[in-house]
Amino acid sequence: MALIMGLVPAGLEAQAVLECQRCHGELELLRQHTRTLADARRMLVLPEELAASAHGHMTCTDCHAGFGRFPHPAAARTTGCADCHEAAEQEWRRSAHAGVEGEEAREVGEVVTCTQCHGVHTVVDLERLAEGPELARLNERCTACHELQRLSPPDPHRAAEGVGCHSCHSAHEQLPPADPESRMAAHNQPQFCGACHQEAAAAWVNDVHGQALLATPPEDFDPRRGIGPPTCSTCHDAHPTAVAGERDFTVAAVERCAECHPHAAQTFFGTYHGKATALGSVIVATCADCHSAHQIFPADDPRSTVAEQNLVPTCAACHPYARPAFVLYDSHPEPFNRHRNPAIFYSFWFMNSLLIGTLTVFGLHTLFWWVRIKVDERRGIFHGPGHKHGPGQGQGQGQGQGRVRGEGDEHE
Amino acid sequence: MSNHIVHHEYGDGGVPLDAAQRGRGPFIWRFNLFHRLTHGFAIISFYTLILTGIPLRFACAPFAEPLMRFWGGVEQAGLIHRTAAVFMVTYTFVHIVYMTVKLVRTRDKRRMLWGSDSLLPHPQDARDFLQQWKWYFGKGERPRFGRYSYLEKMDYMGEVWGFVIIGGSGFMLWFPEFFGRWMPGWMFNVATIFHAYEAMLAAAFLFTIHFFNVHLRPDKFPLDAVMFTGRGTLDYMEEEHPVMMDQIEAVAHEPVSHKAIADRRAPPPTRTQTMVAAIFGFAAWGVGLATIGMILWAALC
Repeated sequence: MALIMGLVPAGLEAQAVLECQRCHGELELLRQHTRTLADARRMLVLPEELAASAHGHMTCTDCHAGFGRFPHPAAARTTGCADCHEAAEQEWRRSAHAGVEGEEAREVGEVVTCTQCHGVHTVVDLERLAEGPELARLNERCTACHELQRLSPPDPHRAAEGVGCHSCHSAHEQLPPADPESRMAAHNQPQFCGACHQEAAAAWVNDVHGQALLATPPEDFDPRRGIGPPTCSTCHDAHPTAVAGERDFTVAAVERCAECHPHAAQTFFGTYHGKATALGSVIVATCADCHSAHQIFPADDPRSTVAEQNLVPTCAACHPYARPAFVLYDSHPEPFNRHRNPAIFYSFWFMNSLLIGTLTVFGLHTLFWWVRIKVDERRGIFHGPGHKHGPGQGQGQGQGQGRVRGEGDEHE
Repeated sequence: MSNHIVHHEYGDGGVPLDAAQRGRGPFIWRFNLFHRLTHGFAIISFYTLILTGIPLRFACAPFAEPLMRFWGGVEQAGLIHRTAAVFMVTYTFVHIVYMTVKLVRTRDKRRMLWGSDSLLPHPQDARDFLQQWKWYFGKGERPRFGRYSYLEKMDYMGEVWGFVIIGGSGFMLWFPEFFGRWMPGWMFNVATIFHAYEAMLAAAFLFTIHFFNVHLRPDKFPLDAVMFTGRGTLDYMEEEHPVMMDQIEAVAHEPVSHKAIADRRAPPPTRTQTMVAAIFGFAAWGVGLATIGMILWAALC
């Protein structure tokens, strides 16, 4: 169906636009020629709307060539966006929005064209589009379909000036992260997240995780099943992006490290650091506090924050008086491992033996006591205060009672 | 008939709730106000310490997070924990001063340290312990206890041991920077193990064995409030502490003095005192058993 036009009250063009506006500025008139009100609305073009758009300097016939005469000739065609925006169109053709063939088509849904994001006569120029309310409106269009990816206000990417969906996902070449061509594909994240987060990315590519990522060919990744070395989003997520230092991130980060490092996590959760973290404390040390976030190396690598010679400054971040003796603390103790630290091993077994031994001896002591009393009761022997007189006996008459009482009374 | 021989029954003539009020005879003082207050402080601080510590120790258990939320978060629970610890150290210090002053002032120091009134462990306690086992198997009479039975001495010495172990390790973990100046860091790992296991031992011992010995034995069930009201009947005292009563009575036998027992005679606890003791006792019992439940529950995780 043909798209309709508006009016720019300026110069030569203004005259032409005014002509079109005679019909396309009058809803009632249009309604007489259309089947439904919705059709009429679609053909209505408000001049001020068009004037404010990026195409405000153009006349109607620049896009709607051949519609200059009325009645409109049957052969008249509206120009495609691609005629001018060739590069954008090329990018779009490669994106998921251009349509997906085969099985995934149903899942992904219909094709998303230029106008669905940019509007028809309200196209906004690039400068305004990249910031403020226009950017917010553009993001709203993305999240109208991608509901789950909607960012809530505290999300740092939403709060950041000029950052929108397109900043990470590109403007026209959007691909699902599972696609190795996607900017947000696992092995592309360091490059594209690093475009803004240079420091983190620069450090990270050299550490164990970055090196492992670079050494893994893209086809070996399956982010959906969590296969492959960790990338930016493995720890930081995407929608919403988790912010370091916040409780949710801290707890989630430990859990994520634990997915690949279960033994380290298990021993960590045996310490005060781990237990307090599990219960929501954010002031105690977690994985990244000791191992760093983006410069993780094995402990025998001198670059590692947990290398022997670096432990004092690492621990001193929280414990300012840390000294070489202090850092002999075992952050991942293994009480069952005699060779790792005999003192921990033996104190663990000593305390366990004491606990079990004491409770066993006195548990039995208690049990036998109970049995003795119950056995005696069955034989008619009662224990406890008041029973030695036997039931029903008056005071001062019981056998074996009151050596004092009997005689004491006489004294009085 | 002397007025100090009373058959104590409450209500419709049934058995008093408090085992220490059962039987006949005048009431005899067993614990003075200082003893009772100290024990009350011990209960309050110990329960606070256990209930703030247990969610951290068993952080993986389902009850940990709600309990921590109840305390207002990990940091606040830690603050309450350390406040209770300081409270415990304070009254323990006062107790030590009290005992020292008492020892200095007493004429018969040997009796206080080594006599049947003593709280310190003696060879007689080992003999009593063996005698108790003989009695269980019908090979002898029940041991006759003095002022403190070996179980009560164990409770006391257990508190001393627990105080040193838990208190010492607790202060290490409270001030790691200070202790870390002259201790190798793995001592904090060791301190954590000692702190946690000694606390578990204390809780498990008090909430099962101490409770049974003192309150839940069929011959005392459901409550022995002597530590709260401070007094028990003559019958009760003769049952629980016959050697002590022998000594009191031996003095009383002498013509000059019926004084020994008269001095120790207490007015019967009022109804209010009994009720308060019962409510306090049952609350402590309930929370204690719940704590045991939590430890067992946590053992599954």
